[in-house]
Amino acid sequence: MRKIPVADLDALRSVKMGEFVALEGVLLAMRDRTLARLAELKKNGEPLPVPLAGRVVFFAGPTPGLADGRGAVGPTTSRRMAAYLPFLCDTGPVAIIGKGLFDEKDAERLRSCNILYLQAIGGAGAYYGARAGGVGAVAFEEYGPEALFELTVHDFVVMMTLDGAGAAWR
Amino acid sequence: MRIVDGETIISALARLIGELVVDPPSLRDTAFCAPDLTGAEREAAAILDENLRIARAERRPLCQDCGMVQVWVKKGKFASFSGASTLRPLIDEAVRRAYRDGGLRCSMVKDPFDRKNSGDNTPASIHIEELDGADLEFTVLLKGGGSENVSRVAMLPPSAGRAGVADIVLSALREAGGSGCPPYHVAIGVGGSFDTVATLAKQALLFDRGDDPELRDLILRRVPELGYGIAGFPGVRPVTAVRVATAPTHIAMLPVAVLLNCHAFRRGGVSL
Repeated sequence: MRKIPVADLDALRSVKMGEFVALEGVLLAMRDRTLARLAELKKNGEPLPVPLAGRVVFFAGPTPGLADGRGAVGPTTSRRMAAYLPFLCDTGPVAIIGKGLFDEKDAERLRSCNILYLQAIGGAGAYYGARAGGVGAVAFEEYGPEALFELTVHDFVVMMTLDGAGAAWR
Repeated sequence: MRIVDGETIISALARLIGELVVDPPSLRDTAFCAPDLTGAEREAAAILDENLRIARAERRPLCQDCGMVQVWVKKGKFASFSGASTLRPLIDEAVRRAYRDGGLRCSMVKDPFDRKNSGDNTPASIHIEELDGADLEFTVLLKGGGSENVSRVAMLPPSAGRAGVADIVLSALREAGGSGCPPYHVAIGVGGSFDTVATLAKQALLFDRGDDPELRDLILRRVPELGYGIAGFPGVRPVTAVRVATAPTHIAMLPVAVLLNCHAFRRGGVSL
């Protein structure tokens, strides 16, 4: 299995649909409430706490124990975030990680704004938790598990679902 | 009247929840890998087996979604308890200890619209069933949001019969795909009314109800048409088990509830 540094955008874009790869680097973990807040900030023309351009967004909310090496983290349902895809298209992350497929029209939107989609295995929280080296809330700590986190990962196994050539797994 | 100490209830439930999060009895015999799995589905199965191993060995939560706590109490009429006038505060205190003090993820919000986290994973969802005798039994399910979101209730006409019920189940499974963490434990309630049919499906899941094997077999025969498997990847194992509970209903009605539980089936019980 290829190891792909998440900061290496060309390497990420070279991964083919259906390929399993091991990600290395720092992900931006967020879910429902942070996405709603970020989209609102963007709409009002206010600055985001962290720029998303070129980053890898992971739809997830970790357990608190992750910081002490005994926690869990894993993907949450991607299609629930469909409402925030226009926002994500506007802010330019290179890729999204989540679980499950997007509807065809949402996959088309991702394709049109060059965002890759990778799936992690849903419900494998201990497995991914053991591959997450560090976690810290970088904004919206008051949202608890729905805060915006930076998550350092190694050997983080995901499958390319919508690749750089626009090929989508169905 | 037998009086069970309130603190005994709290500590037993908190301990049970702590165990269900990392190593539930309901998953002790589970192995996801099987000879008939291939490709991406096989990769996903191997990850889920590794997930069970790591959770057990390192005492990590199996899933970051440590669940909404669903408690079913069977209370004999000669059993009572100290410490509170109702069971609610005792159960919620157990949830508080297990989650807030145990470093688990608190996933409950106080209000469905303002979405503010309750901070201690309360309130639990509680159902109390009254029985004869002096037993006090708690069955606990930690239910994640992903699979709850792909569950549904339908009010069918009686003419729909088993085939109509199977259609609803298959359509729920088709729509769920990989979003609710398959392979699914499918629990089906049939009968009762709009409100009780969902509870019936939950009873099927909590107590391994096997009513109407004909319906179960009809559904199992149709599972291959889904075309997906573990993690929603193309494959053969979208479903782990089908449980069915039926109940009397009205002459005009055929209520159906399809309750899907993810592969992290975290169920256990304690008798006090």
